[in-house]
Amino acid sequence: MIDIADLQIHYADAATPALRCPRLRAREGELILVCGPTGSGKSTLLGALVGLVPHFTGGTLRGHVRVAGRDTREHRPRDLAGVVGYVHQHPATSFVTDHVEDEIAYGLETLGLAPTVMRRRVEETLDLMDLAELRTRPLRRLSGGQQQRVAIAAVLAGGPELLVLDEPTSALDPVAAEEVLSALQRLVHDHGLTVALAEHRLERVVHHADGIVLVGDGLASDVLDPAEAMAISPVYPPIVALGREAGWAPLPLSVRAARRAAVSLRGELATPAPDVPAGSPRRAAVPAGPTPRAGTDPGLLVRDLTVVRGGRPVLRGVDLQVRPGELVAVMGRNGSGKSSLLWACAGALTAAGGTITVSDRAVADLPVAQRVTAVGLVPQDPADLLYAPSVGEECRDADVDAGVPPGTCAALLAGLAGPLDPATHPRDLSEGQRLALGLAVVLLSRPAALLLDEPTRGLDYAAKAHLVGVLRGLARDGTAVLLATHDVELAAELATRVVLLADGEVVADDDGPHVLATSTAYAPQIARVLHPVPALTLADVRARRDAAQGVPGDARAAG
Amino acid sequence: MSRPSAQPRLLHPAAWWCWALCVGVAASRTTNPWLLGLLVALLGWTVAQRREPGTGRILAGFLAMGVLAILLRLTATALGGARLGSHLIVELPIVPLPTWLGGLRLGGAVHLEPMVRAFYDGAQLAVVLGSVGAANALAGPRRLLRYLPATLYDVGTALVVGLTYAPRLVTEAERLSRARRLRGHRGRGVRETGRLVIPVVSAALDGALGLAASMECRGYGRTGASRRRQLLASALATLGLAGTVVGLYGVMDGVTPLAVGVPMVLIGVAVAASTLWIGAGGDPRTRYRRDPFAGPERITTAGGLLVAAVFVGWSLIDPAATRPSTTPLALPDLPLLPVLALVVAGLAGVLTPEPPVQAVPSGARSAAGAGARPAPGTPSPAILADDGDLTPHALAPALARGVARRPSAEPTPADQGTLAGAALSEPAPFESSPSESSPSESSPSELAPHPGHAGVLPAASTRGPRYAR
Repeated sequence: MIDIADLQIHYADAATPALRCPRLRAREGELILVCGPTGSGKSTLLGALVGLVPHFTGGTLRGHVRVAGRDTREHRPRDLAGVVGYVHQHPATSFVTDHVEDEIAYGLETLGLAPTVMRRRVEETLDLMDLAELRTRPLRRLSGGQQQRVAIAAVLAGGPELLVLDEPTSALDPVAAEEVLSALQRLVHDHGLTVALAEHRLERVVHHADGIVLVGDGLASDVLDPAEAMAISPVYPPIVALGREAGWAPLPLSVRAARRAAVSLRGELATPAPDVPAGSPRRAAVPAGPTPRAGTDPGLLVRDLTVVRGGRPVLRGVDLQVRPGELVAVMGRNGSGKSSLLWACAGALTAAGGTITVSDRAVADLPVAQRVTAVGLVPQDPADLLYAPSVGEECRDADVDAGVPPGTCAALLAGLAGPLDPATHPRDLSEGQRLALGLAVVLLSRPAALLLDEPTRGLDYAAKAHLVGVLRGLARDGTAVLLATHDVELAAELATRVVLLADGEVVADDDGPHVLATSTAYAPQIARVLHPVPALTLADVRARRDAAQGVPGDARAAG
Repeated sequence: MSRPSAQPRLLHPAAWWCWALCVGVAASRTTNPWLLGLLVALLGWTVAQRREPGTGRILAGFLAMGVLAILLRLTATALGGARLGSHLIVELPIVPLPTWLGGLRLGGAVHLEPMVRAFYDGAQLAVVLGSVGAANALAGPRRLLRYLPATLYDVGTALVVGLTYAPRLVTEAERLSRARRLRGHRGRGVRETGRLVIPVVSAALDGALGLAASMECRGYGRTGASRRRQLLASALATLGLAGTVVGLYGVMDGVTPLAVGVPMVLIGVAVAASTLWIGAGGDPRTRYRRDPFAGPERITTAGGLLVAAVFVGWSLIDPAATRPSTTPLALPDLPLLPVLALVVAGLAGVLTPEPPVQAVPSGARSAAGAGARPAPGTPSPAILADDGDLTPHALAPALARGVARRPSAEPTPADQGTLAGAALSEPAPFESSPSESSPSESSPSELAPHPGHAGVLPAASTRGPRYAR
């Protein structure tokens, strides 16, 4: 189905190739996962499979890419349209029409199918992707998960043999992501479709994969067996980290396989050690966990907040408190009001009822220029905060805006992201670097409360770990940090408290480990593998093991 | 299907556009205020009855523009064009303009008759604008663009994408303006707007590139026509347009005899039109769900053409009634035949099928059981009511509800499946669509410990698996 030979892709005038792939062969009916750190060339590889590289993006291609027997040298993406389907990362930008049914029919129209065949295919695809009730809905009124399904349906209707997806679950909550991925897997098994997808949140996908392609530093490997690939991959999900730590071979990739392998490990971790209370394994792992200042400063206090948008209440009577030094994660499905809560706390959305105060100052009463010293929000796309054509100029503007000595922002940025070339355009930075720049700009005003909306979208594991360190540092310095996130693993690493929102109301507001460990949708992988042992992250596991056994060397006994 | 208008559907857009533009043509032939008022009433009533869902308040917008036109006209007339007449309203001071502007003088006496004349003319323009607005409201331009001939397909697609894009730009600008406030700026004002221009434009460009890539990947731009055919079509188009231009020049300049000018125009138009037909052949694209041009469409088009014909004819026969003069200022009379024609055109709003009700956005549904997201691995909680398991005891409430909805049906064991299936297919309480934007019951049951892994809801198969269809 896919046959790549001696591929080299050079962009514009670059000396080194953006992607090299000596050999890649994939059979029909496989789900192939392409994984690697940010900027390693995954999108280039997927683009090459569709023909977008080089016909659409420009560049020079050497070697051959053959898909379903057709060489992309002779076939432009539009000629491959009946055979290969491509789903972009942001489905909203790829919609051509206004309604669900028209969007699905659009591809069929360009392929020139007979009208009766088109009707049938559209109906079948609507059923396949569970969109039948939404058929006349305007596309802009769909949620993120629904839009993703429509984008996949629009491409599926033409009956392609290969489906290429670029980060299909980045905008989705865990349950919606699981639905989309399971639908894809069912298509692979029942219809013989071949799927190639790139994803950063490997914990959602790795158990579905039939083969893994590792991409690093512009070099792509062949399709490898998943367990072998995960054993050598530089990016790996928590379940693989646990497997590597415990020395399991072959590496289990699904929760079920890992539970079978973890029987003895569970036994050894379940023995309560004398000086570690059973309920709090995480505190031992985190060095001197953030202690809130002794009750004088209430931090961010939200009382009975009601927000109405478009005539509909998106938040109803929400009560929340984030004390200085606390890291609180707000979680919930798409549309439950997380973003609205954050924007209302930042003062950008007017509240229909209730109060929001930071250190006893009402946020809504503050003038805009002073609001940034009370609460700072980093939006979902940090590029929204950046206006200047270069990093250096952005830092200088930010220094002027915040009234701090010149060079403060640059120093702060260097601390967050390492040395950056000040002449780089912000759009050329990687996701993690852009987030760091946005964070630096917001932190210049020293807000008492820091709010982050989905910070880990598009970040790989290394960048995430770095962000975790930065946020912990901020909490230690006394900032109140509130995160809205879908990323369960991030919440497991970071959050002291977790708040669950559903339909605009607070459903749970409790100690982080307790909420996450007892939830089905929001339980991190390690918690599911080691249930009922209350360990959420690898650090927890190490701490429990060291505490239970006392001697680090005995840890290798796990089978 | 006893009556053709029984089933709600949208009419062919060409029918509504023809109707509305004919009303516009009719309005352009008269300045009689009664007739104009009746025309506006006709437009408003038809739009209220047969408006395409989702078009918003387009007619109101166009009529507002029309009112603005009337006011501008009245102001301009008052400032210098109302000096002659019998009834004086007010005397404005005279302000002479500099000679290099032509030596005009503003102000002076303002009389009633010219103002009334200006009002009539302005009202005529307003009704013509209203007819365009009504055309947009009854059949959105996007639907109309789908019926362009295939040669103009690319132009049509560009227009459609442009129409979709404009509101997106507005939302982008709002988003960036909100983010600006996060940096401590006001987000509004001239300087702020200047700073936002580049990010908005680059976001729009990114969006456009993404859209282009997506369209390319779905096959946009495949040409089926051979090279020869394309060349022939281009040659014909050039010749035809050249001929039309020459012919029009000939007709308008007054020197060339009409016998030469008019045929040139006709031949040129015919040749240019033939390119549309030639270029369309060999195009591989097909059309999904063409709207039929059936009885209701014919009634609508006929009504529109009738109104236009009657008004044009009446304006030739009886210019006094259609263009009432204001020099002896009197109440204009109302001719009967045009009113009858209007009533016939109004039948289009009655005899045509109603537009389908658009899927109600889920925010409007009641929270009780509507659109609850089923927990992974469990069938829809709405069906399972209180128990949470699928024993026949639990099925009884669901079946009872089904029975209550259809009192005539007997709940025999053989029918149990179909009844529950029927109950399942009803939109309101039994819908198990996992629509994330709906106000579902905040169900703590999803978060409780649950045996089995956070599994899947495969698309069509757990839709009430036990309720045989």
